[in-house]
Amino acid sequence: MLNGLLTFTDVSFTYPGGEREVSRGINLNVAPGTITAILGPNGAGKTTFLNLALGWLQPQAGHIMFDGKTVESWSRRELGRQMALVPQRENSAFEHTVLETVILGRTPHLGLLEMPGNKDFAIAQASIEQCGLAAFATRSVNCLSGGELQLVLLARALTQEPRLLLLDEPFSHLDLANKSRLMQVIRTLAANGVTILMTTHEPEIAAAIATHLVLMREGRVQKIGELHEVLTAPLLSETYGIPVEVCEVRGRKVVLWC
Amino acid sequence: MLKPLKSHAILLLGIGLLLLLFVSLFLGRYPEPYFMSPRLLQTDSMAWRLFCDLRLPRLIAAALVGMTLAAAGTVFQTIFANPLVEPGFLGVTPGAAFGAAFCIVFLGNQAVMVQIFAAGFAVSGLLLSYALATRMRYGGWILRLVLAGIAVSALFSSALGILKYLADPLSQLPEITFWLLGGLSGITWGRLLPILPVVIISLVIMLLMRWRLNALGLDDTTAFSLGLAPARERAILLCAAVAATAAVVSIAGMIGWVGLIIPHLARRCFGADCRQAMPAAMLMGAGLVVGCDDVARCVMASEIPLGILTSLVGATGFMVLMTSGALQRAQ
Repeated sequence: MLNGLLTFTDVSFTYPGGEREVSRGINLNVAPGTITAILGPNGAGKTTFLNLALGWLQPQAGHIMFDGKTVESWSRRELGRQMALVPQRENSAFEHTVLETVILGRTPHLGLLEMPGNKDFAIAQASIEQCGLAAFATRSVNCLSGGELQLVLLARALTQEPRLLLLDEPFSHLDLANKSRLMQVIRTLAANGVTILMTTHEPEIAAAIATHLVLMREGRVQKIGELHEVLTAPLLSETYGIPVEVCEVRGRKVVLWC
Repeated sequence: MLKPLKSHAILLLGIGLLLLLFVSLFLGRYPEPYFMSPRLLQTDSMAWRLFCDLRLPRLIAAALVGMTLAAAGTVFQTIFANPLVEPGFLGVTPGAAFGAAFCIVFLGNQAVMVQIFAAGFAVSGLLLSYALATRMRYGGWILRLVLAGIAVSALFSSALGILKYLADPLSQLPEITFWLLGGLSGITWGRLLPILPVVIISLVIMLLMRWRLNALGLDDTTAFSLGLAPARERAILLCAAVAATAAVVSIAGMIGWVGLIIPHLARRCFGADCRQAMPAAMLMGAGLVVGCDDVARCVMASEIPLGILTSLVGATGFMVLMTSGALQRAQ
């Protein structure tokens, strides 16, 4: 299990000044080309987990390897070409257009004083089209709905041309049609060799798209494995602390709770 | 890509500024109010000296003051993701004002000394703000810098109040007041040349890093994920903005509103992307200060303080922008 693209070994993390360990003894291996969903209750440490993978937070114990090298040993620019983050939300103080926001994804591919050129704009335009935003390209991001903005942030991440895509609650503001579109985009990316690691609150989303599942609770990994091994009623009940049932409708797992 | 229409408009702004500078060289009150014939330069040695030794350095200074304040304003507003900050914030302008007043009260009103003290205290205002922000145990880095800037500015402003109270009301107080109102009447090559390297290097840095500035306005984690070193790159741009601001404030005094209103105007006309907004703001800022300085030295027999005119134009423009929908969607 050590041939993964991203590997966590005994990783523990506490925020500076904090008393509680937000991540405790995490061991995890994300294989290339997989779609891994991280599921868990609020405060389980899912976003912290993504920030550790990104290298933004450094663990106090253990180490995190990306493609065989510790995350800290990668240069910022090189890591920016390898991994991209889609945050939950983003506020813009100014009226940037969708294209101006998406083209920022080319930053790690350009030098300190370099400006984006024709090739960079062509890549940004392709990402915009892939996310179904072609009609919005010249619109201000402040005029978009929460769901549209989330697709803009995904398009920016795709413009980085990453090997590993980290998504923080990517489905949280999307309507059904956009959820379906995003699932399609993620499946296409995975089929093209991009590794996906995403957090979600919705077990149905994980059931519909993930190949692997990580259950987290209070900073610990409860269970990790292939979807069918982990998305079970006993494990979900234990993770969320409420009775949960898992049934199957037309080949897809559905989670019932009350 | 940069839309051709926008790049043409920026080119036109540049040509307009050059024309304004050229015409301004012949505006003034010698040998008679408003306009001096270019032919006079060949026949009148006084006119030639006035042209070369006073008007030329003064106009270059006016253009640099406007460019610097507008560029620094764009940097500050973008990095702090706040459309209401301006380059003097972080204790720079109040620090300069205190330094100048301190020199006038305790060391006399020598232009060079006042300039040195203003620049020194402007930088110390920034250092104090930075030191306070690093020790503050409240909020994120941006919020701490903002709070520290407010606190240090208030400290210098109250110290300035004490100096005004102590100053001789017949000699020193008018000098302090005149300096605080801002102006370029005393500019010579001797006062301009020492600040040129800092100002030009800083302007070049701000201009060359303008596209990256867009990403530095994002939150820390996102900027980091885009391959940037947010703290280091923001520090480079803020240092350039503050150094240039301290340098121009040291020769021109308080020139209000340019750094606040011009970045808004540039974004309104050219969009929020700093690739266009930065050069546009620099050209517009230079045009505003050169234009106001023309009015300051032409209209009345005694000079009108430049800071009054820029504030008048800036505040009026700001009111128009704020009520015309430009800022309505800002978060």
